[in-house]
Amino acid sequence: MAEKIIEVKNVNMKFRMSDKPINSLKEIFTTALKGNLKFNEFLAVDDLSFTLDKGDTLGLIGRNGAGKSTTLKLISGILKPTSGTIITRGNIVPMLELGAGFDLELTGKENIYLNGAVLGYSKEYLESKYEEIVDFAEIREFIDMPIRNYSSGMMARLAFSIASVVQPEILIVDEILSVGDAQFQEKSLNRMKELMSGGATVLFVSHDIEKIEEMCNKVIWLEHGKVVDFGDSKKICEAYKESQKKHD
Amino acid sequence: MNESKLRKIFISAVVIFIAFVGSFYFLAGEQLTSKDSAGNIAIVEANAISEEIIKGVKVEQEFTCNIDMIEEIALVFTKQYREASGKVKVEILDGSTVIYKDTLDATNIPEQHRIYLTIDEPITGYSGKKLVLRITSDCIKNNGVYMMICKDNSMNTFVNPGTIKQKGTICFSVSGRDHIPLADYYFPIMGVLALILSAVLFKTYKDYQKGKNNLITLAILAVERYYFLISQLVSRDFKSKYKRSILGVLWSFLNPLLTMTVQFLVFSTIFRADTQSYPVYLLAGVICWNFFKETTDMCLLSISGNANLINKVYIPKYIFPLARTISSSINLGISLVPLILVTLIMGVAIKPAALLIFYFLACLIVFSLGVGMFLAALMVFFRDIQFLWSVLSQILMYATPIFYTAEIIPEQYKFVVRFNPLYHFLGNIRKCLMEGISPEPMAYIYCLIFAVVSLAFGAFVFKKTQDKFTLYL
Repeated sequence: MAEKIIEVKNVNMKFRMSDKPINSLKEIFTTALKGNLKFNEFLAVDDLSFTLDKGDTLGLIGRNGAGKSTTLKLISGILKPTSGTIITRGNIVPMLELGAGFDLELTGKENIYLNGAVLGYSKEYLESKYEEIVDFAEIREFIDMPIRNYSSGMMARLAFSIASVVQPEILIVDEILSVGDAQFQEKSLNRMKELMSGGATVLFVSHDIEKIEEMCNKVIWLEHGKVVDFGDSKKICEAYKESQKKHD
Repeated sequence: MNESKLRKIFISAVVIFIAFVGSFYFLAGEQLTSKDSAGNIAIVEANAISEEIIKGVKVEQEFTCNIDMIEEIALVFTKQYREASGKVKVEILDGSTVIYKDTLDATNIPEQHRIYLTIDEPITGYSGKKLVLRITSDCIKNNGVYMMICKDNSMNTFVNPGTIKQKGTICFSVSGRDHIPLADYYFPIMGVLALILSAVLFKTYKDYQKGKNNLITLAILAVERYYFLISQLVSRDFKSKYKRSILGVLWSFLNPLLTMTVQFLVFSTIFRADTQSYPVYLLAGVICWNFFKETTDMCLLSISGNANLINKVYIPKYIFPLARTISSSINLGISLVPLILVTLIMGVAIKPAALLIFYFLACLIVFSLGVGMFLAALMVFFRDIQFLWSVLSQILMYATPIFYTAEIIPEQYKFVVRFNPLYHFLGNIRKCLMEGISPEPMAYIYCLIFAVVSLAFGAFVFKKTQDKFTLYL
């Protein structure tokens, strides 16, 4: 039996939303005094359970607001579930947003180390992979320049190179395959495939159903935080496409 | 982490503890075993004079000694603005035994000024007893001296015992030091602590071998794991702070110096008389205050300002206030250089006890971190805190003797500084640096309590709320 890398059991994620966002002490006092300090509870993820084995590639599909990104954040540990348990085994690289923690005043080189540290890489690892990152991002001549002078494409390339240099056990990807120009997009797509085929367990959110079908072996279909279906990707993608057509 | 590394860490922890205990004993010196006596008798305000003290006249002052070691007495005489000559004898008696005796030359006695008599070999063993201070002389009439007296005070003064009994108190002071009983057990207590420390670490090590983790191993593992991230965040703080300034890191030296100079120009005429080497006094205050202010301000924004990071990547959230505190601490370390320079320039001799400031600086750092964590957590939920804190911190600044001295505060408002942790840290730092002596042992315990309570409270609030941060950012 394959090793269970991710186990999600009965996970609920509740957000409290007040009608008006309350952000200051004064507001909380005045609304509490008026007696209308009520919160609407919003279940972003409702009783989610699934397990993934080593090497699985899971696609998450669903309409906007179905809870896909919340699920990814829960698994990467950014959010704590309101109830339920999530067990993950192995190092996680969340590619939720690239270049998290970039400091515009610092040079490309300094940002490689800073962003690498944020992603949890060790110093030795970054030193050994430094050349590879710079080469992949194709920014060698600008590496000692503060990144506020970079173009957005350069910054995205640098960010992708740092995030994808590691061989993670769990890779979490949220719609980021379109980085840079066409040539770099192809390069990054190849790198992604490389990472996925390297034995990593991948969680993957995309609205591109064809890409999901192509890359994933399992799919979760979410609707309003609830699982509509979970299982083999071909079957669910077909069903999903059918339902989309009905909506249209 | 492998076991041998853990073993090395634990063994060095015990060795460092023992080294600290030993070096503290030498640095603290006699301040460890005794403190300024609580039974010191202060000079009263005079409003009368005694009979002229000539041959045959005795002035006797009764007092209760509550001092373990009497080191100094002071007296105030008057000669009524004329010459005097002869010998004035000052004695302290226990019943009929003379326990101290000194002779003054009446010619040299200053008019209505304190004369200090230092007792070379402190008088010990009379605590709790009634003693008598007796002043006699061999002066001839109209050539003698008088004692200044306070009539309203109720201690008994006798002039020519048996004949005249004047109600009142002569102007005298008795001061000395009290023995600190616990200090006799310094080494036994520290020995027990060292044993407890070793036992805890040994147990932790054995548990770790069995695969069990406790708070200590978890903390060490966290340090090992996040050391690189923290160092990167700290260096980012530094690099982006000074990135586009010409003088760069030099500002860490210049800033406190310039603030000190401005405040010196403003305040020196007002407060100068109260304290020697006012620039040193002021600079120590400015540096400590700047550190506290910078740390708390930066911690306050450390979570809300890193919202994009916290929402995208999992990082233990305490890393942010911790990294900010560490970068401020480095800044503090840099600004110690101008402090030491100014101290030397002002001609204040730096004694070994000055090393003790690092203890109080460490307390200050831990205290600030605790306050910072509390503020950072609060800031996520209530954005008003940043405005509130700028007002509160200003109140705190004025409640801390940075440019004034604590003595000018009227007695009924002394509680303002007594409960102000910053005053304790700062006061002790100044004492170690400027007087070159250690504060009394309780000062160490107070400061430790302030620091630990602050950190425990800040960390508790932070931990309780941190899971909700992402929902509010």
